[in-house]
Amino acid sequence: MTTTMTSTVRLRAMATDVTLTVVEAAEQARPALDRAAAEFTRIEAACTRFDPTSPLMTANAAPQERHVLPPECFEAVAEAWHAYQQTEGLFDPRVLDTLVRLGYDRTLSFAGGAVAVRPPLTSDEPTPGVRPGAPDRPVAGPWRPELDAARHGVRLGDHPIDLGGIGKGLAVRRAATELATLGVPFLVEAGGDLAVGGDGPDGEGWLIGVEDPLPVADHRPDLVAVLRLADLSCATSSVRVRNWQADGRTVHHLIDPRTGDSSRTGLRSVTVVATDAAAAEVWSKALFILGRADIGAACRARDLAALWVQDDGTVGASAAMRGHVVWEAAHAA
Amino acid sequence: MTDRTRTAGWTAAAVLGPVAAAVFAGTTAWSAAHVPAPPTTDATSIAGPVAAGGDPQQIIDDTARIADLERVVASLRAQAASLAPTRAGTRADAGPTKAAAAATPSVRAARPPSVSHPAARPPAVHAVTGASSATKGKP
Repeated sequence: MTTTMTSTVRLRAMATDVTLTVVEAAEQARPALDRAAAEFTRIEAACTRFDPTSPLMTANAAPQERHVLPPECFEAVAEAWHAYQQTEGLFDPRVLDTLVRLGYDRTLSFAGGAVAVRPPLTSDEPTPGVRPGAPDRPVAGPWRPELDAARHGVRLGDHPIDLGGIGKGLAVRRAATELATLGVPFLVEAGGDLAVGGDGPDGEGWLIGVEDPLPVADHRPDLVAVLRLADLSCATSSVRVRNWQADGRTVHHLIDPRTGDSSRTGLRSVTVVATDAAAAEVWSKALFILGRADIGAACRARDLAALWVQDDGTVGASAAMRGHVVWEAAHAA
Repeated sequence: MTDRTRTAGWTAAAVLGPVAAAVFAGTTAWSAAHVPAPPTTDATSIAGPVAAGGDPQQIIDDTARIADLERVVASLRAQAASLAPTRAGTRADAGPTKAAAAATPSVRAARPPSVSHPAARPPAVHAVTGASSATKGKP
């Protein structure tokens, strides 16, 4: 890997570290970098569920009513609706109820080690954004939001929604669009969601490590694979960090809408490569929820580029992902 | 075999025998009237056995060519072996059909199929995708 002039902007947005890098001198790159950074702050302001005054939470407070949203929030809702249809309900933003009842109703400091929260809420306990009496088991019935693209109007339906994952995917997509205007290689990183442009700093592609989701022993590398990407995006859904103790058991943030609980389908992580960052985010989550037994067939049916790590450490990869893998860990599962 | 079938068998032999002889004679006559084609330079022609008593220079050239092709074959076999999974626990799914690939162009390889190498340490990377880089949750 050769040394090449790059310009980097780092910011904190969407409760994660965001890094924007372009292979270009700072003075030429600065305007595009600033516009790309602004996409994150703008989408965060519109789509956060940790601010009760955000446009999303205002709509969540009365999901059956019609709301006019800022363009960023409307786009996120529309993208979530598209993802719900594409994944046949595996990606369902209505799992917000379950997340809140498991105690993930505020930003949790997973970086500090083990996290424990109060026991899950009962259905009658009032919580901002969650209607009293809402079901805490499988999300009932199909989701049928009403969207008015001309006026950015929405009626969410019977349940509040979470736009966390898809909001980050959208921000990565928009930031990548801004940086692409420079016509030079670039990299957008946001909490495991990535988009790369061009062939990397040295013209041989961007090398992206896939983190090992299992506790790492001293003799093992922290990566399970390295991918070489150009003009592509990738995202990983993993339970390595974002898990916590609730009511005496370990839970995590990847909620299976079919069960209304943390997904337990034999997988620890799923990484997806796609041309679009939001699509990579959606499919990494949907394939994780789909589980070990069916992930291979789903990838074949849709020609998805995915790499997954099972509970026992075994690594699997779809045929479409194989072309991206330039290194994989030799350690036994 | 009954008498009827035995009679039918002799009848068939009586008919097919002259036909086969005629075909053989015709083939022999055609061969005698045609000059063999000159040697070609493609792989299939030179990979065949070399006639004893042939041109010594031709034999040397053909032998060298065979050696070159054997090296090519060995190289291709090595590439094929390196494309196979390098880890016992890793499994690859069957490749997509051409129709499926054409139907979903949104996912594509960044470069020609790359080769996994079982090096103990990973190469230096530009970024990492995973959970640890998202330590404080999503919005």
